[in-house]
Amino acid sequence: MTRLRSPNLLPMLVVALVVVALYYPLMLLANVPVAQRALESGAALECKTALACASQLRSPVLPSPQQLLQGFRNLTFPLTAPTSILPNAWATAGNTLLGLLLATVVGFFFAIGIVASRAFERSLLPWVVASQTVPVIALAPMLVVVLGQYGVQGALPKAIIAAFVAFFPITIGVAKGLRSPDPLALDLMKTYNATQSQTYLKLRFPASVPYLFTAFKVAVTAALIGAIVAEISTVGFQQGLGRMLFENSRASDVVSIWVIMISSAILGILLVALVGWVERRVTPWRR
Amino acid sequence: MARAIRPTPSKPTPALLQGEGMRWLVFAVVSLGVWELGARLYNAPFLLPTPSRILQEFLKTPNLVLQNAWVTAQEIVLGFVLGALIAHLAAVLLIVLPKWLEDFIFRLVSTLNSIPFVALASLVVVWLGVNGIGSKVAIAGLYTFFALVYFVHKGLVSTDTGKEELLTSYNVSFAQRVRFLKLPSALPIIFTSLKGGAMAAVNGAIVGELFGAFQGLGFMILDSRYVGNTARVFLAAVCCTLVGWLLLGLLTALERRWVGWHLEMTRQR
Repeated sequence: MTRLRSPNLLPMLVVALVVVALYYPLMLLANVPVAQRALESGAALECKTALACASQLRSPVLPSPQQLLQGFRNLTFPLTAPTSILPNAWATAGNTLLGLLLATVVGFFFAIGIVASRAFERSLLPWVVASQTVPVIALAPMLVVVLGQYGVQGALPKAIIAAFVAFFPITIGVAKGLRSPDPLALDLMKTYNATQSQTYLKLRFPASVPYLFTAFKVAVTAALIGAIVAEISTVGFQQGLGRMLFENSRASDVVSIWVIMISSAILGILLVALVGWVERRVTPWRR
Repeated sequence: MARAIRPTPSKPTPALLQGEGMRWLVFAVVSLGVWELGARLYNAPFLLPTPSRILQEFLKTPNLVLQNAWVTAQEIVLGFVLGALIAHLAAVLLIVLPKWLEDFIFRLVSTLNSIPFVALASLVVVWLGVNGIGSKVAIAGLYTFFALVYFVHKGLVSTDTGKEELLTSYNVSFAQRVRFLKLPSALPIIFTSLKGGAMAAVNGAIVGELFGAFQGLGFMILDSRYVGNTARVFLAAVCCTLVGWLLLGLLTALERRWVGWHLEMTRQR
């Protein structure tokens, strides 16, 4: 990710305030027609006018801030209840990071193959690309059962599905990174009579680190989506944001879906920030 | 002028159906053979049907499957084109804006990029309705947009400073700058991210259909899963993959045509 200049705090705050200020009228605008229709159909509502009803619809087009706040309160407390966000988000984060780890191993394997051998690149790269169009979502339930037969249970099947989505950006990023050293530096290694493995250890791997982290930032989001999708399609006793999403979407609890969506967005942002933090610790020279 | 900026290709690209096509074919046959053999040995058709069983499933109701595939293909292509167009417009718009606003929006977009859009899919379906392809096109477009906008913007911004200054000394208009310098030099990145966008569009359309649809491959998946017809689920997945491949193949062909010079350059190392 290109490094941004240090954020200009004041304008950002102003824009954020404008967004918040615009949200309320937008919400009313979106909800009033629905409220109007509900009133006309003679639904038993506590409010009298469409404008008053707009902020307390059961399935709003856009939820009002009060509703969101209420939804957050309902889904956050008690903190450790199986239906509240914290333990579920924790489980999803675990699945995601485990998936990212798997994806890194697989990604490095493919990337080294691609860089080291033209034949490998030619024959395998198209399939690596093509593999990403396979809708894992569709096959996830079967995959989980198949893996379960070999004793692979719990978080691992979800991590594998997350890894399937995440290994692609890592493969591409690392391959690019392994190719990134200056040709002169590569020639220098040749004049030192360095072996292939020495060239990799001393030159190509260090050169690929920045690319690896750029890839991580994309891959961690992909892994999170993979983990959530896996949780949606493997509804069992395990926790996760995907399971919450599935249950609330079955119950048509729109406000809760919003709350879960915002929570998963926050989780995504936190995970990317975590990658950024590790990146700064590992590559301090890039500041 | 565009000609002058691009290096000329060093050698003509190889014919499609000689080397590469053969390799693909061999690989396809081998992997299908391994699948068939493995699935037979595994002997659990409910979990892992053989390719031949999937083909049989297709031959049972070819018209219905093709109809569903056609619906999903429409959603994917429409969503992809819409999402890609809007992403490019947004990226160009971003570089016109004042620097602080560009920074802010870019920050916002890269933050939004880290949001799992699966969650949004169920809401889009609520907004735009279960019927018709509108809601799925919107989800596929959304997926594509966010897969693209970041990289297109990056490509447009990271042009060579020397060339930028040259164009400034020519006193070119903004449109000319985009047309003759920024777009051509961003094309390699754009094509790479377009491929990512195509995959995102496929996933988006399927996710949308899983959250609510009455036709399409995603609907076929849900429907067959309920009745326990695994071969049909796999058939839908295979169709989906084929649609994705078609789109990828098209993009790769265009990439070879338009940025073949760049592919040659990166292969030198």
